[in-house]
Amino acid sequence: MAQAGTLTLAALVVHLRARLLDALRQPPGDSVQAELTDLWRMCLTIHDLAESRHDRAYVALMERMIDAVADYNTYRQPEKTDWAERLPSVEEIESVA
Amino acid sequence: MGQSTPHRIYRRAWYGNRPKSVALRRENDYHTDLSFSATPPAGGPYFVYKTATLIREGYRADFDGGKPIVSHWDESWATHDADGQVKTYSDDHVSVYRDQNYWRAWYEAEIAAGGDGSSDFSRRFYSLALEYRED
Repeated sequence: MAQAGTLTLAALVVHLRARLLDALRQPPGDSVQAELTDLWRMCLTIHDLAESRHDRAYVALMERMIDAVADYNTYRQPEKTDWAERLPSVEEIESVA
Repeated sequence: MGQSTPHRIYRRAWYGNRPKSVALRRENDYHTDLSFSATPPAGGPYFVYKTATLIREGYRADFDGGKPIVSHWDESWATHDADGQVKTYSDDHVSVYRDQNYWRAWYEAEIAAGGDGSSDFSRRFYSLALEYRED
C-alpha cells in the first residue's frame, strides 16, 4: 500500500493504468495513438525492469497493460471494449506491491 | 494468401526486439491469429515480414481488415462488450495463422515455456522476420 508522500512503483503503475484507461476509451485518432504509444513505452520499461529483477507479478501486470494496447490496435471501434475489465484493477496492482 | 495481401506485413515490437513480441502466448491469439498490419505502425519499433516467406513456411497471411473476428476452434464470433455487436478487425489488419495442430502445439509449448517467447516455435518465427526497424 502506498504511503502519503512516498512515490512507489505501485503508485506509478496505478497512474499509468488511469491514463491508459482514459486513452483506450477514446475512438482511434492520431492524438490517442500518440498517447497510447507513450504509455506503451512506459509500460515496456517497467516490464523490462521487472523481468530483469525476476519479479513475475509485475511482469504479468505489465503484460496485461501492454496487451490491451495491442488489442486496441487490432479492433475496429475499440472504444466499445470494456477496458476496465481487461486492465489489472487498482486492487490487483496494490496487492503486488 | 488473399489477393490483396501485401508483399510485406508489419507487427509492432510490443516487447522489443525479441521473440516474445511475436510469440503465440495469449489465449486470444490462440483462438484467432497473430495480428499484423498492412502498413508500418507509427511511432515505435516494429518487425517486417515478407508474406512469401511466411507462405513458404506453411503459414497463411490474410488481409482481413474490417472482417469479423472469428475463432478457429468453434467458429464463434467475438462481440463488443458495449452492445454485443460483432467485433471486427481494424482496417489494415492482416491475420497470420497456420493449421490447428501447429497452432495448438505452438501455444502449448509457449505456455509451458512461461510465455516469454522462449519456445522453439516462437524463436523460429522470430527468425523469419526480414528486419526490425526502430523508426
